[in-house]
Amino acid sequence: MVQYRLPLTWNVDRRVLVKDFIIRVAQETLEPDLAFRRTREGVQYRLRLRKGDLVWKVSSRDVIPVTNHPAWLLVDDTLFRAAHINGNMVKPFRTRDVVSIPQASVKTYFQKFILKIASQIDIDAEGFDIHYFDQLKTCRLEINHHFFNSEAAFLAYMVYPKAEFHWNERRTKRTTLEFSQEEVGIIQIRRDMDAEQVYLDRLKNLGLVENAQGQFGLSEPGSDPLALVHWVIRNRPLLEEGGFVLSPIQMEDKVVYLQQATLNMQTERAIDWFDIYGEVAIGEFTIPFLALAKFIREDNRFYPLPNGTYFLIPQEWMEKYKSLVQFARKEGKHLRLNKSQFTLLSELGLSENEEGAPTLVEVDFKISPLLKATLRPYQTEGARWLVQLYRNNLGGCLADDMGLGKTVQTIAALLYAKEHKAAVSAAEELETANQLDLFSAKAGDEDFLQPLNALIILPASLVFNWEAEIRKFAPSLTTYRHVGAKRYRDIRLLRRFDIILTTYQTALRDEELLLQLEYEYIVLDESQQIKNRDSKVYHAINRLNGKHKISLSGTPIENSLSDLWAQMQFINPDLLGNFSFFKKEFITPIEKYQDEGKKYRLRALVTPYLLRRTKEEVAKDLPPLSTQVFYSEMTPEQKKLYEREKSAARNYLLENFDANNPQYRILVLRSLTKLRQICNHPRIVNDQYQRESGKFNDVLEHWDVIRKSNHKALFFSSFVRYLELFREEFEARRQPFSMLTGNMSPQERQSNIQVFEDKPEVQSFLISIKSGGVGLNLTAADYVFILDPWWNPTTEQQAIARAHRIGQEKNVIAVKFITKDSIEEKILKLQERKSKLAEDIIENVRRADFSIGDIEYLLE
Amino acid sequence: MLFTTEAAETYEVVYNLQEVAEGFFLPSAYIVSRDKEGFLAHIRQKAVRETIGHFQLELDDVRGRLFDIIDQLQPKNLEKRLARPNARRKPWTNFWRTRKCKRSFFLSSTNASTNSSLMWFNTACP
Repeated sequence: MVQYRLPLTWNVDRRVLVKDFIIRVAQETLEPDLAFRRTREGVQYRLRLRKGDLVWKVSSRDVIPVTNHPAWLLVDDTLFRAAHINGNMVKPFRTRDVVSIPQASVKTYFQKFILKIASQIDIDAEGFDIHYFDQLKTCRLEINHHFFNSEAAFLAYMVYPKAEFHWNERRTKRTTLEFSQEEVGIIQIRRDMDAEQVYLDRLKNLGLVENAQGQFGLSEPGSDPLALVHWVIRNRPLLEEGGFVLSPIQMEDKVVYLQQATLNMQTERAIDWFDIYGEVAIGEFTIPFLALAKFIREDNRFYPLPNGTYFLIPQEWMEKYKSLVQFARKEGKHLRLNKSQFTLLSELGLSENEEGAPTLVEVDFKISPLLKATLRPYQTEGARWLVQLYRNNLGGCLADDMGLGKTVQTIAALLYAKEHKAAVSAAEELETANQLDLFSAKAGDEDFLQPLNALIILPASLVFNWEAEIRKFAPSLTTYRHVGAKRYRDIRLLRRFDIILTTYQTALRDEELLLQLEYEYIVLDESQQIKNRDSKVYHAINRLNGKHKISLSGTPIENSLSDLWAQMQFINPDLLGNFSFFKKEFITPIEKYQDEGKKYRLRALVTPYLLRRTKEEVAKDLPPLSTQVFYSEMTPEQKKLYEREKSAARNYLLENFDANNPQYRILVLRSLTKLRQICNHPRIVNDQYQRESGKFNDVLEHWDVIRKSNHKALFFSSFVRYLELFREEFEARRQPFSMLTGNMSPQERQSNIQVFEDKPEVQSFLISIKSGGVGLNLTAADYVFILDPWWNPTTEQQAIARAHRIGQEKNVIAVKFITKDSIEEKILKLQERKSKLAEDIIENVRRADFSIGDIEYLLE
Repeated sequence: MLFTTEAAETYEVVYNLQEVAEGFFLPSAYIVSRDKEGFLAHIRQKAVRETIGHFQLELDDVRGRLFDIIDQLQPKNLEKRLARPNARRKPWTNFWRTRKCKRSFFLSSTNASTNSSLMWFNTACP
């Protein structure tokens, strides 16, 4: 079977068998063989074709010119490239061997068809006068681009009067034609090899190396296909000194201007931006850098100059300034960068004229004494980072792992902002009073009473927890929960608070109201909620007027880099350009082609505004075990059910109080258990319940964040049915999990434990607190969820100890989920007081020691 | 017999130099079937980037570049390239038939592209 990698045919159509029209493509190039003879009538001219040592008459084969210049000839069934001649030149010789040129036409004919080719090749001549030359005039350098691999190298031609030789061609002499006194004459050039060697040595001394084709190139060409052109531009004076002649360098039909260019860049800083001025000096021309920006942005290295030539923008500039021209906008005759994009300037090595490098203003940060918490070192660092951004009018995304205290760090920053705002206000008053020392201004009571006006937008489930933490850590800040049907509709009321807490949904509904206030701070918690840039909530929140912005998220990138764009667009608008630019520049190259260079660039852009510490990174600052309480609110339906149940239990138990009756005590225990189950999920007590549970949803939300950060968690509950609800949810979500309850055989237990410990994809372990509280070693987990509080804190501590025990190398964070305004809060309080009441109620003691008041307390 | 055991037909992309006017060649590409012995048999249809996948033919870099060159040399694209700005486009044959200088200009602009395509054969063929 005949195999052609690229089959080529000639004049086929649908009627023919294609195999009969296949043509071969020769690797060899045909050379012309020219001969001239002087006769009485004029000049006889003969063209034959040479392939290696074989010379044949054109008329002896079927020769068809396919292209004229460069010439491709179809010779029988083989396609050849023909050097030095045009395809049309062979046409007269297809039917004859010699062309006779009458004396009257000799000059015209030779000038038109012969002279150029005759200067390039050796000819045979008879009957003409012969003149000899042997003096080397110069060495001409011509850049040759390899057609396929885009590499460039010099062709070095030795220039003699009337002829040129490629330096490594074998011929040492050439015979050619010339016109002298209207007559064709013959000249013969003999090469001076010693003189030629001097030029070759000079090329090598300049650092060029000879390649296999006898061309001279750079020893390390690098990735830039036009590197040799830049080499020429840099070394042109040396080449000229060495006596070389440079042929005009033409790339893609554009003649390159061979003067070296210098670029002078300067930046000026304004409050919220940097202005960049630049000027390129190249030979007689001066070009504003702004003019080059479009070319750099479009990857076009050829900038047209007024003299018709082109300035070849250096590759180094293309790379160095690409980000700058992509992100900067045109402002009059210069470029302007947002302040948030200052890293671009640092990368370029540009500095401001007088005011120092383009970095953030350093802040002398001290934690406010009004903060009623001792921050861990990394938390202090986080608060300092937020404050530094605040003082520089920039936004930040705090993306610490869940449990590391993003809330308290934010509260510390809010306290700082409140004090700073008061100090600025005091300074302004001093200024008004024409006092000079602004910095000695101290905020008086009135200044400090000015509300901060911070707006915190968060999921509904977090509102209570935030409020509780603000009250605990910063009781001096006034807080208002802008949620529910009775929320204020008057902006004058909202204006009075330091902090307004609201939900994403309420912010969307009250957009017009909230737009009326300018906030000192806007904080988004679980800010991944605005990741969808087409959502109404994204647009509503981006319309709000905030002087400073913080976003908090354990997972700033959930699915795609577009999540990151949305977050950054909120905190520092335009930092990453518009979305279509960001998609083209970063999302596609990174997500589709894993472009490491783009990843690096993106990281450099967002790093100043994204602070993420994992648990592992701050392990040394963390205690081996930290326990946190998360308060959940019941859904309205859940609450209704709970209240009905509680009221019935309360009425019966108070009316029939008999603490020493074991039956009564069982009834108390049953009632309390039922209430606890409703707190978890009403479906535990009523299979028909189809609505949601506040706590169940909150646990899943927490879990989602932790799971995405590749952590493992133990879920402990007193109620197997509750664990089963989680099991059903995980199965529906196709999330692998493990489970351990009292009904399992020892083998089954062991196998499930092993699965959780060994398989990275199994991230959750559902455990009944009674069956799994002791004797287990589950060090793969570093989060523990106590889904419901147990009367006796020791049981919880034993559960937590499953993860936090010998062999555990990670810090463990335990989260207790407590339903607000419920029996669970009471249990928690009893735990805190180390009260014996719990024991008296639930333990089977002979004589219980609790009063009617205790029952009232539990069910109040 | 309900089912044949005949092997599925195989195809090849074939490049062709077509003499579209006297002494004037332009490249084209066809999808050509192979006969049982594996020899190139008959043209099935024109080969373009979009269609070769239907014939289990891969669009590699060389094929892609050749298709681009062939596309540049399609009559409609030649006419677009050679037309004066804002002037009504004329059939490419006008350039070929009219004065010699026009023909020369036309040839030089098409020859360069044809040469580029042939350079691939010069290096890629066995």
